[in-house]
Amino acid sequence: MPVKTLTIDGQLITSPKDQTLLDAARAHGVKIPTLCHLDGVSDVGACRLCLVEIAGSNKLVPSCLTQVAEGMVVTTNSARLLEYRRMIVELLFAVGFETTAPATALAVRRARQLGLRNFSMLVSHVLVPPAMEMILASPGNRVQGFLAAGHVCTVMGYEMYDELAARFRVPIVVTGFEPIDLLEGLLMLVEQLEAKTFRVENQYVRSVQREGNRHAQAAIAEVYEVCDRAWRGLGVLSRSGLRLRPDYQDMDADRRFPASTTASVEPRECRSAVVLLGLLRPDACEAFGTRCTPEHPLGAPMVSSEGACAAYYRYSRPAKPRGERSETLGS
Amino acid sequence: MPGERKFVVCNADEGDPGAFMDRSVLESDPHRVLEGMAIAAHAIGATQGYIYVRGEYPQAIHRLEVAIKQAKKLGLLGSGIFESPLNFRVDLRIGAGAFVCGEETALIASIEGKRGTPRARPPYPAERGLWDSPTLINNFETFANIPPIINRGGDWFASIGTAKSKGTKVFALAGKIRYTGLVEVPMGMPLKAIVEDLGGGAPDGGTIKAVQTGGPSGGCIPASLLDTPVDYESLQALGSIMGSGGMIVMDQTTNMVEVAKYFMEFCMDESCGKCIPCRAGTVQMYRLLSQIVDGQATQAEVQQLEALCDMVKHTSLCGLGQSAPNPVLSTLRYFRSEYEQSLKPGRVALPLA
Repeated sequence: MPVKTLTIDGQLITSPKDQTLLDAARAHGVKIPTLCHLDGVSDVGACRLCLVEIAGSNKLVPSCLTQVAEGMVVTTNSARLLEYRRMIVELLFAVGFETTAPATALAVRRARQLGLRNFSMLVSHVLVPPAMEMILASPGNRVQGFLAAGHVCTVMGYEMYDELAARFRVPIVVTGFEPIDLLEGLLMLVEQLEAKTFRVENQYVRSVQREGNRHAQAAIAEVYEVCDRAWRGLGVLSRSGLRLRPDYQDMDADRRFPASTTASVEPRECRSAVVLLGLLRPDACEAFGTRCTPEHPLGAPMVSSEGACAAYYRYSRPAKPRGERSETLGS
Repeated sequence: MPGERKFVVCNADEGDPGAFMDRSVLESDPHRVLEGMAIAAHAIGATQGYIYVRGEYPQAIHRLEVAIKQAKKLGLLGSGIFESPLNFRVDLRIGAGAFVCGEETALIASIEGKRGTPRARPPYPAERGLWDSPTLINNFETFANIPPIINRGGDWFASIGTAKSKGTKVFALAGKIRYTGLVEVPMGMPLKAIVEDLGGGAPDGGTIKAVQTGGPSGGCIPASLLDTPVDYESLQALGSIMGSGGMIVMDQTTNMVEVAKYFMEFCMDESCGKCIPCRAGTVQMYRLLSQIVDGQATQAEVQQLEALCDMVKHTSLCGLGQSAPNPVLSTLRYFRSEYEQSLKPGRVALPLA
């Protein structure tokens, strides 16, 4: 027996009994945004974008997990829902290296296919090899080898490192992220240094192939082109970033909304450049742990958990005892 | 549905900061909860039970293990209880320190050996719980209440408490109070009687400023409302909750914005990360509260904080996120001036978008 008395946004809808509200709405042209819903994969209701209101209930329900029912009156686009959705998406702002570029490239391509006019990108993608080259070429460089980031290489492969390794005579080992991966990567670097060889090796064989992911590379090449980019701490590096190709520039937020341009100003006190070059231990910086903490970072290496300064902050100081937090309550 | 496999699960994953009500009973009278679970199993027709106990309670775990052995030996658990056809086996499952595993669907996932994250309800555990079977899951204190109710009758239990909140409740008194520790009181006792008569009031000539109930999910009740009777409905009307029974007393030296920040840090740390509002929203709310405490915020940040509280409360997947804004909302409601005192002058935020 189909459900015959379901109302979605004022529209009376007949729907198969086992359908979700999301499917019923979509089948009748009512658009509900989703992020974690994927056809063919079990729904988890984690992104909360598809929440809808049901008359008679105060609780918002995820339409991807809620079954249709007789007499149900559903609102999918109240002012409150739109505001919540906008805030949730705002919380997801993110930037990335080559790893995330294929996904954003596909999003751009899809937006073009659909003819979307309200889709724009503030592209901040950066490329790893130019930054490695800058470090190796800098006077007083002390870096003797690189653990190349495994996730970048899953996309880009590691052919591009051959030239760097040969020119600067440094071993480069593509390495994964589990503790055992890191230890093995370090071992492979040390073995090369002892043998005085300067090859590119792959520790992360379970994920990375020499040529990388050609489909992902093609998506990047279709949408983006290489450009100069300013790096926090390192300054502008030639050919170190990605920007939208001319065909896609109508989606470039920097062009559409001139006010969104954010010039990055480095605090004078931050010495991230010398930290990144391996010339200063993070905990030897004057500001470390006092004026510069993960909660209030002065520079990039203190921002994300894998940054050099943040890692020192987290692992080289005595761990904060759990009870410390309760001091606030004076108990 | 007869014939179907069913489970009884006892939630002893007591995790609110400063709360140790369940622990005291687990350590001193574990048989009481085993008896309560066996009665519940008989009532619903379950043959298997689990007690999910906090890993940080080694003494409680040890005494539960001893009690289960003793009960089996005496024929109070296991096959043919009291030489009847009743079978009921109880096993322990030890938590690994995740606060969110106190949420029933996360706890069930954890027992199943999966990562302890909540899932959307419905279906509720009573319909589809442990390994998709109907599951009765209750708090430790609830099961511990069953034996005396069976012995003395429901009328006796219902004669204690208020019209809607029956029986007694154990609270863990902590903070700026002369006599800290556990108290068991009839429901409906005024808050004042608990903190002043039983707890002895604030020590060292201090005055009580507020009482926080319900832990990180609860709210702060100002001293002016201490005449409130402690029952589910009254606490909820004040923007707080009964929760598991944590009760933290604050005196005139406590900064209420810091209290809100403390609880938000707890929720941020303990958010499991499954849904976006809780995972990212608690981080942003914590940052805004830190800015306010540090005197780096303007009215615009307070407005942003309130908007985030409203969104996270109404859109999060489970109780952790839905209640994480409560300490902020209740301190804003009763102690707004403390937020405003530490603000920098600044313009009011423009309407967003």
